[in-house]
Order: sequence, then C-alpha cells, then structure tokens
Amino acid sequence: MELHRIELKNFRQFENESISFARGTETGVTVVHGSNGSGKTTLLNAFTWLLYHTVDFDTKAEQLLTEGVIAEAEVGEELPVVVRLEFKHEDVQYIAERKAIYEKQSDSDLDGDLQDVEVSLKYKENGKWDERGNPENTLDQIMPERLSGLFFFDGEDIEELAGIENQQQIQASIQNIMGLTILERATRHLGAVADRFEDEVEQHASDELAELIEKKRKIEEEIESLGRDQDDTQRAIDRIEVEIGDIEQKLERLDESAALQERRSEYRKKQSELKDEVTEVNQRIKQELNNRGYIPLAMPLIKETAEQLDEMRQDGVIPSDLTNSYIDSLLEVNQCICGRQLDPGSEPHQRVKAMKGEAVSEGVEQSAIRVVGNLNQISEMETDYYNEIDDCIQRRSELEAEIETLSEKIDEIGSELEKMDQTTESGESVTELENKRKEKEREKGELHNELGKIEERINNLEEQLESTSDKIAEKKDERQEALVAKRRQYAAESVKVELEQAFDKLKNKVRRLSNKKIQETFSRIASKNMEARITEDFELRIQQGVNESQRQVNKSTGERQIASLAFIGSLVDIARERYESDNDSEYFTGGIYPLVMDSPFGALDKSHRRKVGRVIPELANQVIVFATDSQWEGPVEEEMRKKVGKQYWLDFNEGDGEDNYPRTVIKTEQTNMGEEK
Amino acid sequence: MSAGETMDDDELEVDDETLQRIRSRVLRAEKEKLHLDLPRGINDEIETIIKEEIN
Repeated sequence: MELHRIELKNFRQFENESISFARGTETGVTVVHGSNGSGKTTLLNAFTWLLYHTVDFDTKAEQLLTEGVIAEAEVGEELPVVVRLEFKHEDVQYIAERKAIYEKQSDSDLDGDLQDVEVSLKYKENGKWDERGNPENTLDQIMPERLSGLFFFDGEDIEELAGIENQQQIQASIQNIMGLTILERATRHLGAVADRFEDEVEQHASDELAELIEKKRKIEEEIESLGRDQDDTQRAIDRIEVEIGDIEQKLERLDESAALQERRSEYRKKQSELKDEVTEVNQRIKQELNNRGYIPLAMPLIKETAEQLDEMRQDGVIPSDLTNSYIDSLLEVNQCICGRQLDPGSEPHQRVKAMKGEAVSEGVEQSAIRVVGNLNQISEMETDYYNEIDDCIQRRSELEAEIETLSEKIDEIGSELEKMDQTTESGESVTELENKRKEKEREKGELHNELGKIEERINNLEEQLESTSDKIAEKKDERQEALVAKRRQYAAESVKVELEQAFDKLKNKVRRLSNKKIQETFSRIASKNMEARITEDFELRIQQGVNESQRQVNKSTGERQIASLAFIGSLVDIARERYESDNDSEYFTGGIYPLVMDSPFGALDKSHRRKVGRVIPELANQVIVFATDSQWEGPVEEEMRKKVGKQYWLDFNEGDGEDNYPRTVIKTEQTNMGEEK
Repeated sequence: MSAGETMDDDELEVDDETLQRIRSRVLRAEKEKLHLDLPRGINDEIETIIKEEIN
C-alpha cells in the first residue's frame, strides 16, 4: 500500500484540507509539523475513521463535524464530513472515501445529528475507474484492521506494545503477516471438514454391509468345509463298495452260494436298469411340465375366449369384409351391392366375380374362425399333454413295482444265503460273508444318508450365499457413497498433515527471521548491552546482557518505545522483503505497508532519537511522521532530513469562543505558528 | 468404521495433483477470509472444494 493523498472535509478542525505524501525509496518520508493540539492525532484518526470507522480522541470523541461549520449552518441543514484517501496497492490505483452526513438540530447544536454514513472504494483498471461492491471488505484485505495498530500508531501509546499485556498482539501480528495464520486456520478447518466426511462415511457405510460381507465369507468357508466332508464320505462309500464287491466275489466262488449270488447280481443289474428308466421317465415328465405345463393353467381362459369369439362371429358382431359366400349370393341374384343389375358376362358382373379370392378370404370373420380353430387346437394339445403325463406316471408306477419285486427277490436271496454254512479257504462261512455284506450295506446306507445330509446342507448354504450376495450387491451403491466420503476424508486429512508440516517449518523460519531482524534493528537504536528477541512463543523480550548471563529487565518508557518501534519497523521490513520475493506466495500475506507515526520520538532522549531517526526511514518505503518542533529539531531532523520528500505545517487557530471557531490550515511552508504547549 | 475395513488402500488413494489443487484452493479461500476474526462459512467452502475435486 502506497499512500498518495488524503483530503479532509469538515473533519474536526480541518475544514477543507489535503496532504500529498512523499513517495520513493530515497525520499519517502513525509513530515507533518504541528504543535500540541494542532491536529496531529486528528490526522492519524482520519486514517482509521476512513479505513475502519473507528476514532480515538481524548476530547469530544463523538464530535467529528467542524465546529465552525455547524455553528454557521442553518437549523435543519445537512453537513458532510468526508475523508478521502488516494493510494496504490499491488499496482492498482484506489480512491477510498467515507462520508458522514450530520443535520443541525438547533441553534445551539454544535455536534449535529448523524443521518448517514457511507463508504466507497473506486479503483482504476485498464484506464477506467470502477467501484467495488464491498468496499469495507476490500479495504480490510488491503490493510487489515487487526494490524492497523502497528501501522497507524500514536507514539504516546506505542510503548504499550512491548508490554506483557500485548504479547498476544505481537504473536498475532507476526503470524498474520508471515502467513502462519492462514496455515493455522486452514489446518484447523480441514480437521473440522475431515470430521464431517468421517460422519458421512459412518452414515453410509453401516455395519450391515460389513456384517453381510462377513456372513458371506463364513458361508463360503462352511461350504468349502462341507465339500471336503462330502468328498471324504464319498470316498468311504467307494471303499465300502469295493469291500462289498470283494465279499460278493467270494460268494460267487463258493458252489453253494454261487448261483444265488449270480442271480442277485442279475436282479441288481435289472434293478439298476429299471431305476435308470425311472430317471428317464422323471426327466420326460419334467420336460413336459416345462414345455406344455402352462396349457392346463391357461386352458379355462383360452376356452372362454374361443367360445366368445365364436358366439360373436355367429351373431354377426364381428364385422365382415366381402366374404366369398356373400359375393356368391350377389352373383346368384344378379345384383350388385350398389343395387345395379349384374348381367352374367357383363363387365360389372366380371368385376364382382373377380373380387372372390385370397384377399377376401383374409377378412376379419375368417381370421376369427381361424383363431377359434387355433384355440381348439390348443385344447387338443391339453389332451395330448395329459395323456403324455398319465402315460409317464403309469410307466413309472410299473417300473417302481418291478423294482420293488426285485428288491424282495434280492432280500429272499440274502435270507437264503444266511442259512448256508459252506466256508471259504480262509474259514469264512457263507452266512458270515452274507452278514458281513449286509453290515457293509448298512454302513453304506448310513454313509449315503450322511452324504445326503451334507448335500442338503450345501444346497441350503448355497441358497443363503446367493441371497447374501444379492443383499451385498444392493448395498453396493451405499458402499460407493461411503467410499467417496472416505476418499474425501483421506484427502482432507492428507492436506491437513501437509499444512501442519508447512506450518511447523514456516514457524521456525519466521521466528528466526523476525528475531534476527528485530535484534538487528534494536541493536542499532538501543543501548549496547540491551537485546530484543522473539521467544519460542513469539513474545517480545528485552534483555540486558551481563557478561554471558542475561536477565530480563523492567523496561523504561523509552526502552519500551524503542523496542516497539524496532518490532514494528522490523515487521514492515520483513513483510516487504517477503512480498518482493515470491517464496511461499501461496499463503504469505505480507505486502508493502507504510508507517504512519504520531509523535514517535516523544519519550526518547536525544541519543535514542538520533538512532531511531536514522533507522526508521530504512524500514519502510513510506514513512509519515507527525511531530512537534521540539521532537523534530536537532538529532531527528539531522538524521532524517535527506529522506524527507514533503513537509507540512499545521497552522492552528484556536478561535475566540464566539464568532471564531478552532480551525487548522495545512501549509506547505513554515509560517509563524502557535507556540508548543 | 467397520465397513471401511473392507475398503482397500488403493481405493482410497487420491493422486498428488488433486491434493495439490485442494491445498491451493483451500489456502486461497482462507486468504480471502483472513481479515475476518470469525471466517464464517469457511468450513462449508472447504467441504465444497473437496467435493468438487473428488467425486
């Protein structure tokens, strides 16, 4: 921010005055000379009133309007108070203006009643002036109010900055200018937003999905385990069948049992063939059900439709085109449909006759007849279907009866074998072999039962698996939402961590940088054994070095003022340096700031005034100093003279309390001004 | 988050370019509200930024 010119209209004792500020690195100092009470503090307040709508006056704080102006105005007259500031910021020219309207209420009213306050901010872009829609916001961004105390300060209060009670302001100032505040806030806000996304994740990704997935996994595991049991049982059955086969071979080899065993094998073979046939019959029934099973279900409706269509046709409800029979009847009576005579052999007769044919046969009535015919065919299909199913059931019953008969015969053979006592070479009798065979058959039966149970359990589980998979699929969309929320949470947390690291890195860098700069500045203006530093917690400390040990000292007013000036000057300098380099520009908020100081040398002795006068112009590009002659003359003037670009003198006339009211005129040349008080 | 356990790290991955864009946009939004003591609505703005970048 570079200040160009300020104009004041009816602002306290300034009726219509202006100041153009010095610019440039070599002569960037503007000095406004004025005795006590001449309006130096009022000028400082003009800046804060314009930019932030705040003032800090010791007397008549609420009275802004020039006393002489309202005194001379008529009752009811509206009077403006205006402060206008021209400045440049980041290469854009601005004109900020705040205007308050007061109305005189009575002859004795010297304050006026505030009617309206408005602020405007014009800026020049591409050679044209335009106006900001949010002037106060923009002004606050250009020169933040929270930093205003640093750049527009009253020297009489400045030493307070270095006091313990103002450490927070020091911390905030450094962190704000150096970009730490942005990082700290961004980190905090990202954390809050990450929490929001986490809530969203919880909301979408309910435990239900996890439970379903877990359930599916358990079902799959159980099916796998049952599959292993199934294989084991099947292998046990295979083994038993081999054993039974061995026993039966032995029975076949014995004369006594050979014939019976052979017969049993035949029966079994036959029984097996019959069972295969039963399976085939069952297959046929299933096929019939699949292919024509719908017919019996649809038949009542089909019959009803066919009957209705037929009735409609017979009743003549269905519109008929020219049917062959109708044309025949026309030809028979030799009369056309239009009533004309149709002589056989004549052309009209021939034409009517020619209408008989395929086209006519496709009439609606014919179609209805065909549909009814087709529906009747379906009825025949129903009969066929029932006949086929009945045949199959009949055949299956016969087969099952045969199988039963064979089972009985097999049992009888078993009973006969149990009674035989011929033994094998190893001493096993037929009876024993048969009993053993039966025992193996029983075991085999049990294993088959077990296998059946396993298969049933697997089938059940597979149904459950399918149903669970369907439910998981239904939850897929919800999961997708949860996934997106989770990714957003992850992103917020990742950026947060990154910014926290950047904060820690920058914090140390800023502390080192500000410490170095303040130490340098302070050492140039303070006593030799005094030292100013910024602590780990960004507190400003003044220490007195005694040999190698240091102790914190109670600062005198002068020392506190020097420390504060060093601190402010250093911040302005750091902000300028950082602004001119592009490092960390992503979050760096510094810039070029002017220093506007009211009586900055008040509490300093001559030696310190000289040092401050030497250092301050080097810290800021633009310095505006309000000073009394006694503060300025001597060492300060000697040090700053070469840097001064413009000087003004406040010519204050305090009036006589009757017709003449207090007024200050700003002059560019020194005249015989009032004495200092 | 229970269901989160079923999400693979790969599924949660956000590329560096996106993170960089989020970072820049968040800092820009913060910068615009830096002058406010209470930057009202900043959390909503950051949420919107992230939703726009990851959808």
